Order: sequence, then C-alpha cells, then structure tokens
Amino acid sequence: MPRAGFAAAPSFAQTKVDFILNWVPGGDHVPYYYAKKMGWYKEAGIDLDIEPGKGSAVAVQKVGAGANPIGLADMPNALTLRGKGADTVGVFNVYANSPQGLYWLKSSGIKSVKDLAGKKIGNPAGDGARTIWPALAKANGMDPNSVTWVNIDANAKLSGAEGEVDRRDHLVLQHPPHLPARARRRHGLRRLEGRRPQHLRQHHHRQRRLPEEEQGDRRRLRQGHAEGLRRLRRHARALRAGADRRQRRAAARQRD
Amino acid sequence: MRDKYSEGVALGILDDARMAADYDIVKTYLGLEQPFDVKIAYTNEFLDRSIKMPK
Repeated sequence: MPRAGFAAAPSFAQTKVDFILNWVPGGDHVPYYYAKKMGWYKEAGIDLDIEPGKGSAVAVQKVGAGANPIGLADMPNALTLRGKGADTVGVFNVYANSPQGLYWLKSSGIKSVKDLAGKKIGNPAGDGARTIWPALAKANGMDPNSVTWVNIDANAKLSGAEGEVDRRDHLVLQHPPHLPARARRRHGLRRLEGRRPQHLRQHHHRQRRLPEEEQGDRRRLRQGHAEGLRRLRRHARALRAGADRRQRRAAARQRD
Repeated sequence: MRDKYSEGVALGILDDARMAADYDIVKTYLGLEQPFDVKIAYTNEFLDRSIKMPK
C-alpha cells in the first residue's frame, strides 16, 4: 500500500493532509471548515485540504487505496469494504446516532416503511444510504429488492423532493438528515417513522494503519477536529443565548 | 454527537459494544465477503480524552 498524504517534513513545518468528506460540503461539515478558518489545524501543524466527497463508499475506497490519508464515512460502508480488503481503521466517531432518513410526500399515502414496497427511491449512486437499506428493509420484514433505486445528483436531494424526481411514483429520498420541520411542511414531506436497526448509527473518520512517524500527525489532526467541534458547540450556545436575550429585550420593549 | 460516551468518556470515542453490534448487523443484513475481528477496524488511540462533548 502506498503511504501517500503525509510529507516527510521537519517538525516545525506544516504537514499537508488531504481529508476527503463523505459528501458534498453541507451543514454537518461546518466544524471542519470552521476549525480551518480559525487556524486551529495550522496551530496543530496541519495544512488541511478538505476534499468534497461523492459518498461514503468512495471515501473508504480512496482512503483504503492510499489516495487520501483520512476521510469521513459511515460505518456500514467501512465494515463492508473492510470485508473486501480495504485497509482502513475508524479513529473518531462523529455522529453518536445515524443522521440518515427517508422522506416522502404526504400525498403519497405512505404510512410506514412497509408501504415503500413498489416505490422508487431517489438517491445518489454512491450514497451510504443504499448500503444500509437492506438492513432497514429486513428489520421491517421487507424484501430489500421491493423498491427501485433512481440515481439523482449528489446535491439534488432536496430539489428531488421539490419535483425533479418523479412525484407520480411518490419517490422517496434518503437524507438530508436534518431537514427542518418548516421545510418538510413546505414540501409536503413526511419522515420515516418505521422501525430502524438500532446500531447502524455512527459516522466515522477512517484511516489506514500508519507507521509510527505518521501517527503523531494523525493525533494532531484528530485534536484539531475535536477542538473544532467543541468550540463550535460553545459558539452555537453563545449565539443562541444572544438570540434569546435579544428576543427578551424585544418583548420587553413591546410591553413598554 | 451527543451520547453518554461522547459526554462521559471522550468526544469521538468508539465503544466496543456498539462496534460489535454494528458488525453483527452488517454481517447479518448486508453480508461480509471475508469475516474479520471487528476490533481491527477501529481504534481510540488517537483521541484526546480530555475533550468531551459539553453537557
């Protein structure tokens, strides 16, 4: 296996790292961009390049092949590809619970996951959701082949819901995970409420096993990610607290 | 991101029991070309355990 991605540089130099995402950049990737913008990776000696992804399977394959030293992927894809020989290792659990979901038009009359039989599901070809679907289907007593997958563009999940995909077939989308209630109402969408497998809930960073001299770089990268997540959480709380204060002041002004 | 492990042990921690359960589901429902010991598929050695998800 090639050992690409980490330059043999003196300790004072920045180490170049190409980090591949699981998907096109979205809200759940904000911590990485935020930490990069704030210079926390540089502080840790990492010159981080964030590469947009095309699905977890692609991320695992690229990391396994050595094209990227580290990436973001969901665990079912990582385990499945590990069984096919991909030399990757999980090093950081990003999501405690799976962000994946199914959405469908309320007008379709679909009430549960079993009603999806015979329907089409719009989803990008490399999306990790396709890997998980058989588990979801079997956990609900369905034949995984009872639905038809339709390829849509990687960043077209919501536009798919808006009608680019075939509404006549009540096409169902996987992701986006955090589609707000207001957006669901606007698009007339319902969210999956059927039985889900209980453990396929983790997204992970993956890496290959590395020689000793590269493990320090990896540890510093993970610390940069973790610090980004932690500080972003604190920042979000401060913003929320500020918004609450402004709302209280506005309400007080109205009373006055 | 928020669960008892990220809040109580370390942000990013990979729990042995959950990983074993993940492996079982993948093996049962998705299929594995070559079975393997799931413990070779993850490690917590790079985590900074002083960093936890704020409560």
